[in-house]
Amino acid sequence: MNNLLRFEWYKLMHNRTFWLGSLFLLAAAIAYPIMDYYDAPSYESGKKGLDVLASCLGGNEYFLKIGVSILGGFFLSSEYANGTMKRSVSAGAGRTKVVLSKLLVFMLGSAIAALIFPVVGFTVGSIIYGVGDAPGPLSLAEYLLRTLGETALLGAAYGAFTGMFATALTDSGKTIGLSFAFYFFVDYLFMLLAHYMPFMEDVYDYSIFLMIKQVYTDELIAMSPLRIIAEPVLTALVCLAVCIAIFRRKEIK
Amino acid sequence: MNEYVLRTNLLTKRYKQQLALDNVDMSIRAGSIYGFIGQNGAGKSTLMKLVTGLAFQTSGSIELFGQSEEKALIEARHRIGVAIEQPALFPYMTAYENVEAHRIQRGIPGRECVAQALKLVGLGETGRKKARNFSLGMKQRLSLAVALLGDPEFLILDEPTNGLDPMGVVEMRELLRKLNRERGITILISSHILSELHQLATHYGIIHHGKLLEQLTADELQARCRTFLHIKVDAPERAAAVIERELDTNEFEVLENGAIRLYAHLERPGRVSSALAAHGLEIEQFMPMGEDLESYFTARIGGGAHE
Repeated sequence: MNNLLRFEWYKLMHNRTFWLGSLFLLAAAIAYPIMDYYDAPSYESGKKGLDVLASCLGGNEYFLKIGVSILGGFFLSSEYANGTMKRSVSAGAGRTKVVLSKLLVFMLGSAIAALIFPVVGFTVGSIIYGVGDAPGPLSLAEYLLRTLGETALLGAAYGAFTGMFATALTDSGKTIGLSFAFYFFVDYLFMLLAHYMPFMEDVYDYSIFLMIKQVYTDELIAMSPLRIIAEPVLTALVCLAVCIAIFRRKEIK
Repeated sequence: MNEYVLRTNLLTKRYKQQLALDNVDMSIRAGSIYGFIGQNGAGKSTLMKLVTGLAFQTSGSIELFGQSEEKALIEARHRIGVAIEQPALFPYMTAYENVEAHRIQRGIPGRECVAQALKLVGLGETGRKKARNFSLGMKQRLSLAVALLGDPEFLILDEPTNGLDPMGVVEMRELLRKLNRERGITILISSHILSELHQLATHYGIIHHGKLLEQLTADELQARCRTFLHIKVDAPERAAAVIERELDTNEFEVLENGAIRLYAHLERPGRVSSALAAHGLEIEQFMPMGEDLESYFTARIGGGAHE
């Protein structure tokens, strides 16, 4: 398993989509607070680095959804078109290990990508405006750990969720397209379902799809640490189990 | 060491209504080069996919290095090198990076083997060029380099000469022969270029419509390929009548191009030519010939009508 994880990491480090996406996020994270400063300097807006962090976390929802969809297509699904999935499966490792190693590294890549925009944006914003005070009863360290830790966990959970599309569809274009469509309409989908099945509202309330909208709000501060960790972790575990179940039965063409 | 590297027992694969493999019993001896012959869609790739674990059989069993239990079979696949259908490469990596990635995946210690594998297939000098910019022939070579990592005992190659130029085909043949001779690697190889296989294989398996029609050694093939006298004369119909009447045989056939294949009187060609000349027939070509693998294969599958 260690070899497979190192192999997947090697692939991720050579994946141009990952690097281009990361560079784009880095550039956006640097540019955003600077442009914001020139638009409304701190003495006018009273803005601080933590406010920039909250803004970045808000925008990060879209970057994350787009980013994992594209990376899922090019990192996971493209292996079927390249034929490299055949080599992975025929190389003498069990299918569970093969798919698990791919997904774990993909989740790590998604978590890293999810952190770039808020971390760099917050750093640049703090240099420009100063850090500011953490909201509520939390210390600055606790607040950063909670928001950024949750962002990383959500990144990984979204990675695992996208992994399901990638494993089932085995086609880059379909994975990217369906992931895009799903993530951008999932909130409406749940609203629609809740209309006919009221329990779906509870499902949505405890889902990563709502959590990503709460990560920069006071609702996250009020949440118990257990829930903050459990929601993305359980989601990821369920997605991994589904991916393993699909992959173990899948014939590699 | 097992006598057989691979054995399948009543191996069957069904895709919905289509029977891709039908009770195939295949045996590949250690140290052999097994030429796997069949038309497109005959079941060659399907069998290779089952052996390599890419697809699942409907029924029957596979024994690889004497192992047939699921976990042991997966473990046994550590000992094989695979190149099935199109070259399996990461297009955004260089040749070195492609091989290095698979070295890491297989847990092979030391990076020296990467350069060695590339040198072996003639790709030692490709530098920073990405695999996506390689010609098909270069991709085939790189795919073979990856398959050779970790000194596999059994190579499974599906159409490895696809896309190679004539020199590349010869080099590939020599390389495979060398690997078989010097390292004792057993090779299962399919190719549409039957003349190539004929020069390389020590054993053959002929598959048609999912059924393994025949397995034979190169010596057995040689014995079964019928030899004949190839005769070309100015009047084939009259020559046929002469052969039938004067030489008292109907073991011959007249081909569409007018050439005659005489399967009798091989030990007395002088009598044949004399009989023809005595009837005023002008002999244009007259020589003993033998069937090759292609004509044997065509005859074996019943005329060679392609699907």
